[in-house]
Amino acid sequence: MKANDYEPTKRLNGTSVSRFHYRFLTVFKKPRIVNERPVVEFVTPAHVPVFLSELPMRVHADLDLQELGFEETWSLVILLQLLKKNCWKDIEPIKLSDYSVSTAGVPPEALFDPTKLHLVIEVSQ
Amino acid sequence: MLQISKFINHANRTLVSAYCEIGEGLELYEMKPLGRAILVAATPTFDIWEDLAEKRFKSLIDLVNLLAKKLKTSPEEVRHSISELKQAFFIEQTLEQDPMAKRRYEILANTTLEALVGPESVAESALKDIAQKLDLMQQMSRIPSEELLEGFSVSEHEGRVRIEWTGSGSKENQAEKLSRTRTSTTSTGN
Repeated sequence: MKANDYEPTKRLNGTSVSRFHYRFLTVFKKPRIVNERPVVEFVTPAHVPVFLSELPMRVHADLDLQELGFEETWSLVILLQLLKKNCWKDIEPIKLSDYSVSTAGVPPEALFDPTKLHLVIEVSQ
Repeated sequence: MLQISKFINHANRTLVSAYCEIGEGLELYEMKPLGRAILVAATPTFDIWEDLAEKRFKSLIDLVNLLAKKLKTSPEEVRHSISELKQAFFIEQTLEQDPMAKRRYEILANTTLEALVGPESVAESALKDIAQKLDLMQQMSRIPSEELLEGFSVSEHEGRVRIEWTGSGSKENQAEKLSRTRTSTTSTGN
């Protein structure tokens, strides 16, 4: 956990992406769209923004073991389970809350640059 | 020195034996009440089962903390013990099947290498770091890796790990369904 605990989201080349603990990049390849916008759930205990996804149901990671720090050997698998359990939830569009994206006031060290993250997880395909 | 050697022998036995000599026995002890009763009755040093199951890393944490304290008074002996500790972690790494656990032991082995070759101040901080990591392993051992990776397929090749879960609508899932349909059709036809 960082002092600046930003877990942001971004659109990238037709996909949506989020960051976890400043180390893991999750690429949501088929986010579910309602009213022309992707549906995002902020999973509060884990501080993870999850894009609800369309089929196929798939969570995939292919990475270099050397890149993983000690605690990350657990946090990776916990994140994978969290994505598996939350990305394909049933939703009622009428119950969704509105949202807006804000970039104001984010400290430079907390800015989200997906190109700097090498530990990539894919959701859907 | 004698005390440290005795301690490290016990720690090595705890760490390594769990997987190579009595790994299957530990599983039996933890999972099956009847197996546990038989093991306790039949094994001369039956207390080792309790030690392995309940205090798997505690003796190692105590050892590493002891080494950090003794470093200033008997550095040569401590370096020797750190060397043994490093070997134990490397052995454990090669025995481990779970790639995440394998990575953890690799990190521990590399940190003990730092403690071995670095100056005393580095060795001391490295040993404290190892003790903290072992403590975390002890806490996390309550949640087995198999449980954390439930439903995922895991494969490792040349240092890369591939972890995947597929459900409804995936290519793999469709192929599996198609295969089942074919098998079923063949059976019906026969």
